[in-house]
Amino acid sequence: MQASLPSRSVALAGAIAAVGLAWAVMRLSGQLPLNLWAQAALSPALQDARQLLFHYASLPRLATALLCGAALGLASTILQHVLRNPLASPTTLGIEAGAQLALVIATIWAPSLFGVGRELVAVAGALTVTALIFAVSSARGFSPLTLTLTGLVTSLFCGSLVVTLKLLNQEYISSLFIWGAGSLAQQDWSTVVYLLPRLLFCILLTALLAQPLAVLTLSDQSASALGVSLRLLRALALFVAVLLTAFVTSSVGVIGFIGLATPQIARLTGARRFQDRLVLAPVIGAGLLVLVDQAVLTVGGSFADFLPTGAVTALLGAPLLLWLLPQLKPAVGSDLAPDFIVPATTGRPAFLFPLLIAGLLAATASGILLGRSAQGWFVAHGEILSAVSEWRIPRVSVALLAGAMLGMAGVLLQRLTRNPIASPEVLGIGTGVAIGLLASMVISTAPSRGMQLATSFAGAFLVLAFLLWRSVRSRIAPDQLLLTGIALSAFLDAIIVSFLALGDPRAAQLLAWLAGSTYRADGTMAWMLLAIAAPLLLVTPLFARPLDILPLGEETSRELGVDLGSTRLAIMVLAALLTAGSVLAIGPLTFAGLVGPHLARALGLRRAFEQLIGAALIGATLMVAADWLGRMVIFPFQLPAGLVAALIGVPYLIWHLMRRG
Amino acid sequence: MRTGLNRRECLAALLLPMVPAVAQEDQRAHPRVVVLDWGLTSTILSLGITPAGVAEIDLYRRWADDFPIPPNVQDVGLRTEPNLEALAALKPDLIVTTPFSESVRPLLERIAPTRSYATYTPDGQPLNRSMQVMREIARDLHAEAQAETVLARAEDTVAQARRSLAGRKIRPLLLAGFMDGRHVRIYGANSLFGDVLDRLGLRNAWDRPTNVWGFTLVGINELTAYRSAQLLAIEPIPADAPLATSSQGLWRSLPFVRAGRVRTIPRYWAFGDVSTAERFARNLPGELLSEESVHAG
Repeated sequence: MQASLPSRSVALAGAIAAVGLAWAVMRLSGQLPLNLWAQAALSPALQDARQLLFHYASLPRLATALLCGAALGLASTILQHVLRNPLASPTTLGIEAGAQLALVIATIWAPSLFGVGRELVAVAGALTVTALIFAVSSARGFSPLTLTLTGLVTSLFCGSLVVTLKLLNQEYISSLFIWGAGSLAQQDWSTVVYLLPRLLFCILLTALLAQPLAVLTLSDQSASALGVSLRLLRALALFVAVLLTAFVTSSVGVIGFIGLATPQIARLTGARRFQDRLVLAPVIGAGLLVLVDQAVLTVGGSFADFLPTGAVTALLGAPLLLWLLPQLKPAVGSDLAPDFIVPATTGRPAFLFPLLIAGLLAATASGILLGRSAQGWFVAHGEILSAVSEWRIPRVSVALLAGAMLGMAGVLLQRLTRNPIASPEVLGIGTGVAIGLLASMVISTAPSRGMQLATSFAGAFLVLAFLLWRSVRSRIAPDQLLLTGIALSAFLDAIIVSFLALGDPRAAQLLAWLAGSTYRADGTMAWMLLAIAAPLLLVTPLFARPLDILPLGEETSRELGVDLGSTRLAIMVLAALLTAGSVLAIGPLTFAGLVGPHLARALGLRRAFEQLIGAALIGATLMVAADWLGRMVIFPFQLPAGLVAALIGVPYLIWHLMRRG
Repeated sequence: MRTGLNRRECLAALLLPMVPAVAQEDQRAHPRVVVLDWGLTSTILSLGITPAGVAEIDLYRRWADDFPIPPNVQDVGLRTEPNLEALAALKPDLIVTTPFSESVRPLLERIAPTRSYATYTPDGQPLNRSMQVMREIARDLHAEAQAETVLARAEDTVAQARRSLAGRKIRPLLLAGFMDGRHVRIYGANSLFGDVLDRLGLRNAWDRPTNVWGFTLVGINELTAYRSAQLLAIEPIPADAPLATSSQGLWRSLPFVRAGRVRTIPRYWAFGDVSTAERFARNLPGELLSEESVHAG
């Protein structure tokens, strides 16, 4: 196996690791003269702060970076191979999010557990989420689509719960964000001592599984013929990957993108065989993480903690992925389209549209009339109604309009990219707005609303412009656009996470908006949103015909006389405007854009026109209901509508995925 | 510095006998007020005024708790996003908040006049600012006399604490809030605690930049440089903080840890007000001097 390693990959892996280690040695020799290294490493002189730092901080940090990088590289290689999915990684499958959720819950309700072990808590969370994802996708024969979808959706769900918990327990925010952002800072050898044997154990397991796993590249039928129990093998391999991830995330937090990027780099430099990647990816991963960490330490200096390494890996990893993308064959979309775009078998129930409209009216009415006060529930009428409607009508209107816009945007994006995972937030537009808001907070301690609006718009516009530029350049390949969006989201998220990790009290405000709140809605905003929404909602259904044709594939579309370039561009601009408008109003948690189109299809709305109208109605109902629930459930506290929509929508979607299996 | 304090003490002494007379004339009803910030909540409670509503009461009790909040005070929800319906239902005459709420101010103004008081500003003197804020609030709530009493008492406490510490050799102090096993918030010269140290004639060991709220977040390894310092760890201490575990790492090798110069002090709301500062100043000599005696013995 060793003899046949592709030389280009070996050279690259070696080069990355060598540069990373050389950088570390250079930096450390500036901290402590070389002749003292042996003493400092073995038994540091207690009077010498330099030796103490070398022994207890620098060396363990270097070792931790190596171990974590290797573990994540290995985990992702296994995941991507077993799931036959180049987008599989601990991040995209929701494993990290599961670990994080468990840790947040423990921080708030059972802090004493941390005396026993932060690690155990995270492992439990990661395993639970993986078991769930495993159950859902095994019901569907481990289709890569279901898995990625379930992973992303579960990740979103855990993320939403985490945000909810943080919102209600703001004093814990800072410590949670340090962990969440992936700080490699060490102050003893405990992390290394913890990770090393566990990593070795996982490597041993992987070595045992390597040969049978390699057979998985064959189709399921021929692999079965070779006598391999596929289910068991996959389960075992996944378990190893989950363990690796859980060990890493529990000890240092979320180190994004190293996992996703490493097997890709190995593959692109010629490591085509699984066995080769198993050897090379951990080396590349370890080298990359050391490299990034040294960069963080050099640039960040004594304030390196302000810039958690995990956030920086995303900062650097995302552009790397953007650069690599065009070289990847579009493997994701190809098997998705038939699964989701081919109409569901159920017919459209009679009276469906009247029912949907009635549902929206009912939600709107209870949103305005039914409320809580310190004394209990009440149905507003007369004088009280005119008092509360001042607050409720703008909120309900904004939720309704934003929900409708998101529903339509989701249909556009899913049909355009032939990808059921496509949704507004995946394109990174919401994150662009978030960065804009952040900018306003950096410029001024107490930014005015006008300034927030201006910088938010600028942020959304920049992301949109980048996406358009990108897609024009790569001739609008749908999968790549989606991946560009994901990479961009991660990039911008990294900036936000770094800011939040500083423990700035303003973080709470940003967090509230990030969760998708209609709180700041007033009459002016409602009218403004109506002015933006009305023309967009009216124009979108005009694209029904190309939207019906596009999912059939490029050739069919061309044969049917659709001008692919201009049609796609128009649909994209429309989707972006719909998204930007709603995100500005209710924040970047745009789950209605994923659920609306799905539910519309499940109800039998197959044609684009029907699906657009249905998704708009469902999206609007979902957001209005979510807004109302958010105001009622924990009165006088309020949960943002976007968050509640995610909390309602995700279990539905997972249930739906399982049922169809 | 010495004369300045004397003057303040004199002023306090002069003012105290006048208080009952002033209070007599101040029998106007206090306006109904809702407070959206915990530091300002303490300020208003210290003036003897019970607000109609306070934000996040449960968490105030857990984290700040300078004063007990009476049970009839209503919770108006999050500090950042108070429940507008609940707020409006209280029919306040005045909403008291910080510039932090600037973005929701247009909404608040529709319910009642909203005044924002800035304690934590770039000029970095929260204690002075907090005293000024107390006077401003007192003017708006018709409690000027009570404010002078509270302020005089605070000055008195500080002066007393300073006297009890005078002549004692106290090391430069690191004020730390533990975030997890590896990170601490360190409070600098521009924090409320930093201001108090200054007034007590104590030295804050931390000499590096901090944010507008007076703290910075660093890894424990950043503390190795402070060899001669003494560290005060502010509660709550997380269960995985090195203080609470038997970790054998860098923490145990830090000079002030090896020498036993670490002390846990009770909870103080780091973004608090005059009362928080006063409580901190009152307790500090006891903490420091008992520490001194422990290590002398």
